[in-house]
Amino acid sequence: MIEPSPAESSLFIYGSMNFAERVHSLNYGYNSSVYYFMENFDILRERFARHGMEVSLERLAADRFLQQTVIPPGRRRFGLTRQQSTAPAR
Amino acid sequence: MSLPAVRPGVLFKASTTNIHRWSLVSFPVADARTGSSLPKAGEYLYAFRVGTKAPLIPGGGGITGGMYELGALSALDDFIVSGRRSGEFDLYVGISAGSILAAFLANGITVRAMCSAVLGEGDQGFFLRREDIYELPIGNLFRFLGRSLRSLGSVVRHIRKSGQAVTFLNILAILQQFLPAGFFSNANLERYVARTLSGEGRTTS
Repeated sequence: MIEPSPAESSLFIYGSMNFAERVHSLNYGYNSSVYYFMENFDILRERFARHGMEVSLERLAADRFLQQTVIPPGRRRFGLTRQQSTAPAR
Repeated sequence: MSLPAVRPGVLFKASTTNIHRWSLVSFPVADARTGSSLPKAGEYLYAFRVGTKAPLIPGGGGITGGMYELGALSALDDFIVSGRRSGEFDLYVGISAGSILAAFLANGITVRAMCSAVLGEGDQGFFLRREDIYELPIGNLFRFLGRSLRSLGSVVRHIRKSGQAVTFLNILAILQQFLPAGFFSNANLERYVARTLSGEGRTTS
């Protein structure tokens, strides 16, 4: 089960209809899962292997979606198509 | 794994775990000495083969929880090198906001496509707009005003009879029962899901 830890209460301050905060929630879920995978890697590797699946930490990157914060707030707010980002590619 | 040899007619007592994990297959034991694969009288060996079905169960949590789950699924896809990705499970069981994610995944919409929509990139068809969730209940607001005006006299009499001061807040406290339940609209959400899953090869049933 992947879920926010009890310490991650700041997740609940995000508003549901704020488009910028949706990106933060998305990133939060990604990072939270990454830390869970890192902390429990040995156990998870064994459990996934039982189902014929191979796992690795190599492709995981922290703050994957935060590069989107370079989008002008107005464009994020109204969900308009993103312009070419100046953020470095990950 | 050591395989138990049992006689026909004896029920194999499977534990709760391996009922789901293994399916039962029977075949005759090969006789090592004679090389015969014919069954000896009453001797059978039961072997087990993997027959699992893997479900993905996104939970609830409103829009924030749904976004969290989408991020978690994205991380899961990056974590799994070989094997099932989030769109390749046998069964999807969603709860609340997770049911929308589950419906999209079951219809072949990838986590990447959903993330792109959240980020304002790619296909904007998945983009969840405010009007897909909220609706200003103008009709209900007018109904509230009408009912309030009609009931104003009896409300004031009720307040006086109960010994309270006739104030705006005391009147409003009684009239609040006529207020619309809220701005959330399931009908709009249903239209959003139907619109998104109306493409070719997708289904809402």
